[in-house]
Amino acid sequence: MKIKQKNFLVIILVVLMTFSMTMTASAEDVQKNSMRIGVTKEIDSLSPFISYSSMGFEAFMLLYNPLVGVDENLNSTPALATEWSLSDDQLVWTFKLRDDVKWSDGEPLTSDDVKFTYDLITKSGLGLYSGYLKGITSVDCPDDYTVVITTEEPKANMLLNSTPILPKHIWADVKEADLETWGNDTPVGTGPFKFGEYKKGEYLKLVVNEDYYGTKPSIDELVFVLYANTDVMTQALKLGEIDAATNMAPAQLEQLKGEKNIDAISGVGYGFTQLSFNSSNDPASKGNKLLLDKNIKKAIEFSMDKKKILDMVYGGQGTEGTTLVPPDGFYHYDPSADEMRAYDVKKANELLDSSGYKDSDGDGIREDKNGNKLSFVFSLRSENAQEDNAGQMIASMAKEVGINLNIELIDDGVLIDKIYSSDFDMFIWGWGTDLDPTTILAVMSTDQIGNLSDCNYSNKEYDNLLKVQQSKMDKNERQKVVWDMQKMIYEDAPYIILMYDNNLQAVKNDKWTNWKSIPQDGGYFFNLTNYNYLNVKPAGEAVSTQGGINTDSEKSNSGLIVLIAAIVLAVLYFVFKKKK
Amino acid sequence: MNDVRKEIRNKKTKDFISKLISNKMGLAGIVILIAFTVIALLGPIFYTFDLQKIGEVSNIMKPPSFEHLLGTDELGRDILGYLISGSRVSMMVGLLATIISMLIGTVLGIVSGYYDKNIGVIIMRITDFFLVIPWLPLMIVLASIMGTSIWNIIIVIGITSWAGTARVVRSQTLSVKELQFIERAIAIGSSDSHIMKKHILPNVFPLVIANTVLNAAVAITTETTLSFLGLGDVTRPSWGVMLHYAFESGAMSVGAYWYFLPPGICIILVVLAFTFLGFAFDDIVNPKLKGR
Amino acid sequence: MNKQYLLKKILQAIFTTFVVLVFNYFLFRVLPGNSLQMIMRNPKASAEAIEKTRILFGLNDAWYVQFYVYFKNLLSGDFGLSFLYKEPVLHVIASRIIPTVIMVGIAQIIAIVVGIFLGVVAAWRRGTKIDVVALSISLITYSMPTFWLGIVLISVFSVSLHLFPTSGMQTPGKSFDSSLEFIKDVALHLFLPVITLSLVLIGEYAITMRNSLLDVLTEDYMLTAKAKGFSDNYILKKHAIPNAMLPMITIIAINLGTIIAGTIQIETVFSWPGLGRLMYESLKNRDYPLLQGIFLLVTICVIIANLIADLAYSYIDPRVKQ
Repeated sequence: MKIKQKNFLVIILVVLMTFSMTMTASAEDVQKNSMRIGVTKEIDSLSPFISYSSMGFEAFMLLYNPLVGVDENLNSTPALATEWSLSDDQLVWTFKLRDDVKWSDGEPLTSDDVKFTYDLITKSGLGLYSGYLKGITSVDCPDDYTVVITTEEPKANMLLNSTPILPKHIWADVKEADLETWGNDTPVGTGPFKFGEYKKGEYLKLVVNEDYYGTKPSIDELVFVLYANTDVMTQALKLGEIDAATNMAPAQLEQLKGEKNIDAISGVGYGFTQLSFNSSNDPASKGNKLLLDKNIKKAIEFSMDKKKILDMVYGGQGTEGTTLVPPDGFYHYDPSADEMRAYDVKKANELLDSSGYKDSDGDGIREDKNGNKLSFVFSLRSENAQEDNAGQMIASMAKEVGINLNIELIDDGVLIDKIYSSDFDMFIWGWGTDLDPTTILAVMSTDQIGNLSDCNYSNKEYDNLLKVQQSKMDKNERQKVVWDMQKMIYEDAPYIILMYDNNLQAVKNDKWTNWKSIPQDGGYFFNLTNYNYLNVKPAGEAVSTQGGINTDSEKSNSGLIVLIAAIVLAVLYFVFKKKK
Repeated sequence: MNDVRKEIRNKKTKDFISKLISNKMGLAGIVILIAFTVIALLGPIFYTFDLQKIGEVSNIMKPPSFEHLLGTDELGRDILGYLISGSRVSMMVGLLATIISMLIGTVLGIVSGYYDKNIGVIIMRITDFFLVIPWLPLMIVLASIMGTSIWNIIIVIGITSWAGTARVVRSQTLSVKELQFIERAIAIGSSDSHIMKKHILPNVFPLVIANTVLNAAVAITTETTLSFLGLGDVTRPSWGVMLHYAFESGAMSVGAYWYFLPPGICIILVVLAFTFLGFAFDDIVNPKLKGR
Repeated sequence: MNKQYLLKKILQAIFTTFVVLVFNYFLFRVLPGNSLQMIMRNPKASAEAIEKTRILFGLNDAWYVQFYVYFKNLLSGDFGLSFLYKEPVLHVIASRIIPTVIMVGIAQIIAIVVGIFLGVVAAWRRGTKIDVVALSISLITYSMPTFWLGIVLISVFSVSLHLFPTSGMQTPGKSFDSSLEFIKDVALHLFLPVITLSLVLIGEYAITMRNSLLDVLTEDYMLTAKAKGFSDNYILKKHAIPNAMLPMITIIAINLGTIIAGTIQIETVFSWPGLGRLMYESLKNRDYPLLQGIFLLVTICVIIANLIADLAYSYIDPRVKQ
């Protein structure tokens, strides 16, 4: 009895604590335009030096501004810089800044902030943006609103860099050693939104910046709500608990197609899903050496009915993959009719036959002339149900041409270990790409082996071209080089690109309108611009924050009544017992 | 002498079985288990199911029909076939894991009870330790380390669930140890292992069986939970793996009840069956409760 | 209860804690997976950044150095820095512990109350229809995998009937006009997770109580009491139930391990922002410091619960005095 009473008291205490916590919840103006967006991956940190998540990237686009932004057609457009010019030798950039920008704490923005930001990011080498600033040798401020950036070589991606400009007066006080841990818990920025509240594991709330220099958003309150799984998030969208959902699964998109007031789109995204083969030339590598024969890899690609996989596993949402740079940009290379490896079981078999792989013992699996079976370990990530299903289909298709893929479902940690110790044959994963092709091209370079490279591909010619394209200022010249690079990869096949991922998103159009897909068939969010955040308008009158469950007093009281009933029951029980 | 003993043992067994059958719970348990065992052993032979055979795009997540009595999954595969072949895996894992756990638990329990002063105490500490560690996180960690092949899962479950059996067997051993005939055996000069094997073991055995049966129920539920969390062996899908995919493919929100209800119900039935059996054993074996 | 027994039990608990500490440390380090690479797997992350963070977390030091540092810090209450959140582990845990405590606490109360009630009713009316029904309900809920029950409940009550929200602890980002509204909102979200956990526990408690009470009822002194002419009710309340409660106490304490398993599943299915889900996420991301912290905390709670149960048991039951 004593223990139970103790338990009971503890529980009462906890409930009281919660109650007192809630006393501090302030009453706010109910007539606010709020937008709640469901996400499945939360922000890992509010500091651009620590965050490596896509949610962080998106949030920084809202809290801060870069020098040069991106418009709805994915062209460079003025942001903090109003105009810019390039010297004749293509090494010196001059940016003119706006003179009317204020930080969210009231301080004015000056060129000092730009210099400070770029210098600090380059020096520390931390965060998602340090790669963008490679090649910059100096940043100077001839006056308060002019920035002069000098580069070592012509820098083709200078205008594509989305590095957020940070306030010097805040960050100067952070010691460099602390940059890796200083959380920037109350970010001060110049962006269209200000920081509101961050509840780890639940949501990130931003509020509109009343003093924004540009188009002020109609959204007063922007909340990114974290969901543990897409199923639950889709339900929440249907029930009106959120106004938009991102990163959904194909099945859920299908469900939503019939719903009124919901626009569900399958937007062309920036990323792809690929099969990665261990292409390491190192004799110490533990990968199956047979995979170094590109004919096997090509045969696997011929045997893959990518369309069927797309239809079955991804609900048709996505585009069949070919080369490394996704097609929604200027740099994608379309293989010619001869180069193209479309679904063709006959060709797969022919290629394997002519390369000397025959099934000599009749067990359905081909061997090479030394009797080694074409049997490989196929690692799939347990975390991604679609990759899992796609992998199962690929294995079943490869079987048809005599290649045996042994599936193992492992978690990311185990897979990463295997990648780094080169102890794998093949796996499925994906990459998110960028407007600047350098980002994804770099993954295949030799010096990323041991870091970002997950296939151990090494080609000196490729490495060289990587450097060359970085300094081609002429878009067309650059394109040519980038195309050559993609041709190389396509020919050597360290990756088979399964598909270019679509962004599956949905929005409620009865609350907000004026949505725009970016680029033309793209998504509303996570599309490298903050266009929609700035331009959506409320549908009809100002919408209140009364979203969510039917707040009928009847229904919401029921939950409370149950809670009270439970406590009353417990109390009664003890009272009842004590009497006797 | 041996013939008499054999006769007695046979009679005791027959007695036991008849008591089991007359006990309503026991009967229900046995019937259900036999049914599932038959399905598990013979089902996949008569009703073939190939995990690698992917269906057609037009046929994914379809509700029950004549062609597919329990509908199809997200890759167009027949759910009834999946369920039947899953029964084999689930039952096998449950059984084998339980055997491992029972072996370890019984041996350690008897040894620690018999050698109460020295090794016994150390074993007790280890047992306590295993009882205290939260099992699910521990298993998740072990499964991550060892990999998720079916054998590893069996081992992981086996080596983390013996503690309960060990504790129970130990206390039983402690009381049996005090009995008269044990003292006599020691006086005669019988070796320790002989005593443990011939005298203590038969006396703790009924308790072990009752405990083991309940453990089997837990083993099956454990495998289901691990598989649901993504740590199962997908090349040998069990009911738990089915549920994992059902959840991942959004069956819940599209209302594909034919996908997530059947495996759940099967699990409930099997676990119930083991539990019934366990209670029945308890009833028969435990004299105090004869009045029930 | 003598001091010696108390001391012995406490020392045992401390010893077990220490063993757990060491085990805890090495267990997670043996996990495959390079945590930092996982967290920073982004084509924009540079090699320098990853290297720097490795040094920050001391991952470049020899294993015994890391071990020594870990223990030294632990003694001063520093549980280390979380890889994922780059914040002190204790902060992260503190921010997620209340949701779990609330859910588990309420579920426990409901389960204990209803479970005991069911068990008593079933035992007292042994053999009748009531017994069969109560027993059946208990057995069925006891046999269900926790997550499955959660899925079924969401499916019925949220998706089909729209009675309750599907997930989370509160309507996200909403500002509340009064604390009463806030509580209403949380209560609505609490309902399904709590019911799920309660149902799972009720089965076990009911069956245990029933068995324990039946044991007691067949004892000799029960017959004696009846012979003496005491009423059924009196016997039940004064003698039977109090004595039958003893095993219940043990079960409730030991159950902590089961509850943790249930909590992880429920928090996953319902997106409940608590410790269970945090543990699962940190495991997926190989966030050792956070993992160790949670695991340690949880295990210590179990040890303490067991200790209290042990002591309470021996205090209440004069027969148990080893």
